[in-house]
Amino acid sequence: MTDHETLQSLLDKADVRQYDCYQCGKCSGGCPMADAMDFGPRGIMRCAQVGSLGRILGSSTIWLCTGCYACVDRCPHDVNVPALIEEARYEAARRGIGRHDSDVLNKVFVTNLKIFGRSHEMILAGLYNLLALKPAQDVAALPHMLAKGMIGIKPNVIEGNDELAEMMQRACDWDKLEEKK
Amino acid sequence: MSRIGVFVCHCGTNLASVVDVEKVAAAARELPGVSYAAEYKYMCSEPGQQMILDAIAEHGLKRIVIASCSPRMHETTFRKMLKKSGVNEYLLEIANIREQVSWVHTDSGVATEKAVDLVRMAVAKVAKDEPLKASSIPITKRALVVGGGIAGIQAALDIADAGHEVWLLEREPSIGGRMVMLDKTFPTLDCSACISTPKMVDMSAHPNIKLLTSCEVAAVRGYIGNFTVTIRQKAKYVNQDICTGCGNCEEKCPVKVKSDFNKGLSDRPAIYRLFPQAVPAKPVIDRAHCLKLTKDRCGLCEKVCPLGCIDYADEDREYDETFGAVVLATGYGLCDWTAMYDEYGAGRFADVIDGLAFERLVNASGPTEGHIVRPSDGAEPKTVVLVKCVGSRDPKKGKPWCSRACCMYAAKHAHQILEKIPGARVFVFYIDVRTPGKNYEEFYDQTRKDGAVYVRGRVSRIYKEGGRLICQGEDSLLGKQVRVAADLVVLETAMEPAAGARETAALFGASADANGWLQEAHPKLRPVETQAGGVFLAGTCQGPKDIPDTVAQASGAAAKAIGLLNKDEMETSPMIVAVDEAKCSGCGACVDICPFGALSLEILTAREGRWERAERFVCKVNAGLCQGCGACTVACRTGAIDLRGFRNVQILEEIDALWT
Amino acid sequence: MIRYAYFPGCASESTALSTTLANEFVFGRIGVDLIEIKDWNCCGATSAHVLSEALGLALPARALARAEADWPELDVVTGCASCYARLKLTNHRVRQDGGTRYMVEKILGRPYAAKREVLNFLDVLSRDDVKANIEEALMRTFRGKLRVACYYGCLNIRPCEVTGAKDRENPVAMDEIARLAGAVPVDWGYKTECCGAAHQNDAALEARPLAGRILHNAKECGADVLLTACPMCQMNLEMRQAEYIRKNRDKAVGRQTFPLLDVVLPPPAGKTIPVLSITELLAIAMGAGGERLRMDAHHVPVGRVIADALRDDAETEVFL
Repeated sequence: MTDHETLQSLLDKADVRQYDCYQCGKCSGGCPMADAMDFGPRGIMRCAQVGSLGRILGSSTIWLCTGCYACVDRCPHDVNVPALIEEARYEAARRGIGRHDSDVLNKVFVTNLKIFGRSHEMILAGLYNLLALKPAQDVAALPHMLAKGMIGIKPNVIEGNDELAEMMQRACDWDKLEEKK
Repeated sequence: MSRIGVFVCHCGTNLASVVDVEKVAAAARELPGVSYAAEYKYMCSEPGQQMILDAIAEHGLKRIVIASCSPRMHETTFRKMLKKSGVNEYLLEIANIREQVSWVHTDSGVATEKAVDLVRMAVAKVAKDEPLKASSIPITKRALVVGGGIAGIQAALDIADAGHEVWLLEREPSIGGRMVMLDKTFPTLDCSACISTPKMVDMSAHPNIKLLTSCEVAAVRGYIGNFTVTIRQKAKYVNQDICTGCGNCEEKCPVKVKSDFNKGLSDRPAIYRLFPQAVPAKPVIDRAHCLKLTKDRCGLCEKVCPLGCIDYADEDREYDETFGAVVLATGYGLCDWTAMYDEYGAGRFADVIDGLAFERLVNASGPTEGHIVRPSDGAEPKTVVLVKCVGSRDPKKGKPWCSRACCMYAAKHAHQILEKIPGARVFVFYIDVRTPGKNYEEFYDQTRKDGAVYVRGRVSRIYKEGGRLICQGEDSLLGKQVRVAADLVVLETAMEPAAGARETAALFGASADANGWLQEAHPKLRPVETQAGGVFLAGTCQGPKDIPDTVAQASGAAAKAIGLLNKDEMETSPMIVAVDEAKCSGCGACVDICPFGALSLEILTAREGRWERAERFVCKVNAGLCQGCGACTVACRTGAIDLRGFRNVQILEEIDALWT
Repeated sequence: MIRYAYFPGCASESTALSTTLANEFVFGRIGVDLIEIKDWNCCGATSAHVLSEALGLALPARALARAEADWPELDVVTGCASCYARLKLTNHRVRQDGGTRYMVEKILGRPYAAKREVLNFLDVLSRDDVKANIEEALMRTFRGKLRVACYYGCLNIRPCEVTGAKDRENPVAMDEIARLAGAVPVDWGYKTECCGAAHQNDAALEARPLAGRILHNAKECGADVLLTACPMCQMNLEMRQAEYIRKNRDKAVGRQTFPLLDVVLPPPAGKTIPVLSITELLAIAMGAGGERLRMDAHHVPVGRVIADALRDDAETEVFL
């Protein structure tokens, strides 16, 4: 597939028509993360309109979107930018051009889940800080939470965690199968 | 023999480049009943028509088929031509080989074959045509204008000045419409009231104009030339014949109601006139709020009226009047943004107002005598944000259209703020700036030079912080989010069709488009006419417009109405339905289906003996109402109804010709 | 008895200590029986759906399918906006789209028809009968002395075609519940603006200002306390508050790029604002003491402001 075809398939999957957008900026104007983004939601739509898949996949915008849906809700043409962003993240992951910190977090999170079945925040944050080389992040709150017994060392493991891990494997396989199709 | 002549047009190269016209003419010559066939470059041209007339004389032709463009284009041209020849103008058929052949096919062989088929069908049909004769009806020489805004006023004045009687009907207690609410008009900054109120006075003094305020159209019967309109006069509770408009009652009335005219920025009494310069300059009672009428208390106005004009027993009345022509000038309303824009506070913030409220604020005769102040605390705003396209260009909120005037009145608002408030800062959030009008771009230029900061982006949301209104949006030219802290926010809201416009137009047989704007007969070439004969459109009822365009269209509609009223009588199309009473079973299926109310059932005495009398229902056609649509002929089970010029036998001949 | 299948969410076992205690207390008092879904698993928010669409749907579906099998007649309720968004979306997608249902059932290896609704605590607390029960259970109220800014969070409301929310920008459900307890909801501007909790780990620098703006607006609009309906929002708005205030000040000073356009926010007063969940507020009004609710677990102390509001009340000392 050419980049142009790939972009079109992402748009189709997200049910977004790039030509619906007339660049009014109501999305970026209300986006809570706009200050930190390179393109913002309007910019992502602009990239789609001029056929620049590379800019979309390489942007910080797709990794900084919080999925709050304020943009879709206010869009006069109901353009579902978060859906396109979601598809763009999958495509970026397929090409191995994800954003480092997001990758680390998501992998730690899912591994954590596979082992315990529930999220263990201490292990999650600890491992993440270690792997993302941010040893000091949120550490200030740690003594308080330990002292008050809000977090502990012992993880909660669900009974069916083996079955859950298998199910998660099936889900990931399903995605790979879809890709081959 | 039928002595049919067939004439094939080239339409320059429009037809001839795809259809082999010579072949078509040659094939026509072989058809039964055809005595003559020819082709020519432009049949509709003067020499083309002469060629046909000569052929008729030379070959004694009795019926004519012309293979050319759509009959919508030139059927009337050729009918007029036939009047000169002695051949009845209804013994004519047009085979449309342009729109239906050359414009839609590329393969010359197939196209020519199809053109021959169409000609063969037309020849078969023309052989069965009957001579028809148009009749005429008298025209009532009086016009009705519905709506008393600037469009209605202009149309009424133009028609009246041409010497015709005009009745102008307005549902509010005063004429004037939206224009009198405005302060100044772009781009000349004329005082809106100063240029519109003299026209209102002219209206009320004009000998040919009768003014009906607090009135509505209740029902309409009839058709072009003779509309019988049922007018509903709403009760005014004040005898308008005696009242001098002294104003005693208005001063003494104890009721306070938010004034719609001042957009809720001030109060008015329950007995009131819309605004000081109202025409007629006499008060009416608002029955929803009058204490006497709602609770049978008070009665102060009756006591203070020196002339005894107050009549609490007044009631709505209905009466019929007949008019020859109708101008619809029902105008526009502003969209209710508070119901649609949660993100702008949905009306929770007193200092977020719409453009019309701003007009009242800045107007010298408005509630603040022209001082721009914040409605919440009366303070002068230092930073004002103008938001364009609120409601407009927003399909999600149900309004996909551009309201056309907002870009300009936003520029005017910016200019007025900068002029009236020293040191004020004005930010205009926009998607596009549209200034297509004489001196409009120059005005926008000047506004920017005055100091208005234009920010390209639609405001995403408005919220409160630290007592100020924060307008959050994107400066899309910078690609950065911005937050402007405003003291006052003006939303330039969308125009929408006036409430009830679609229903009123429907009474006259005119239709509205999907968005509710009244539908013109042709968007380019018949912009002031409707599909209903004798019903014309003026102003914003047809689509968003500014004042110059509104006035121009009103004069156009007036010219059309005058043209109609100048005739004493008008021809009616003879291509209407006829009922074969012998076949009619009186089932009434046609009556229900007729969109024009032209059919009715009447009792026919079939037989009358000494002892018995046989009666049955049969369908009768009102020749004045029938528009020749043919819907009834399809519904008729016994085949008793036939449309003249399109009788069943003619259609069947046409179809047979295709298969032989 | 009003019964729901209950999806507690991972935070209930750790950071949301006091909120979880308050939930138990309040729902016990108002006759709402929350039956915990057996062996529920994490819904995957906020990472699973970023990695894989199938995984993002399968994880919530596992818990929902269990609830459906065990209590087919019960709606599912959760107290976390992130969980709510994932559960609700999964339910919605499975219901709307046969292909998604097929995929989810294949991956789960068990049937799941999405027959029941997914609700959040606000849906439950807004029921007329529940409101009546709340009023009955109140032991003391704040008598108009506590001004609260109700923070709904983005995911309790959006995406609207999934949640069916009608008040998108200015919801009032929580305001009305708070009013029952005698608190005064303030009119403020960040009810449904995202707090950025999803990115406080992987994009901390970028996401911190989101919460900062929310806290700033709440204070500017005169709130004594910020009320939440989600433990993720709760933790995010509370735990990192000192940091936000510092960052926000830097930001305010630093934002001079477009002086004509930008509002330069005044440096925040530096005062913290306590953050409580709506169930904690109700629990206090229903007479629960600070110790029982483990109010000491809050990062920003809440005792003083509650005590001030309840000053003339007999049980005030519990909070001092």
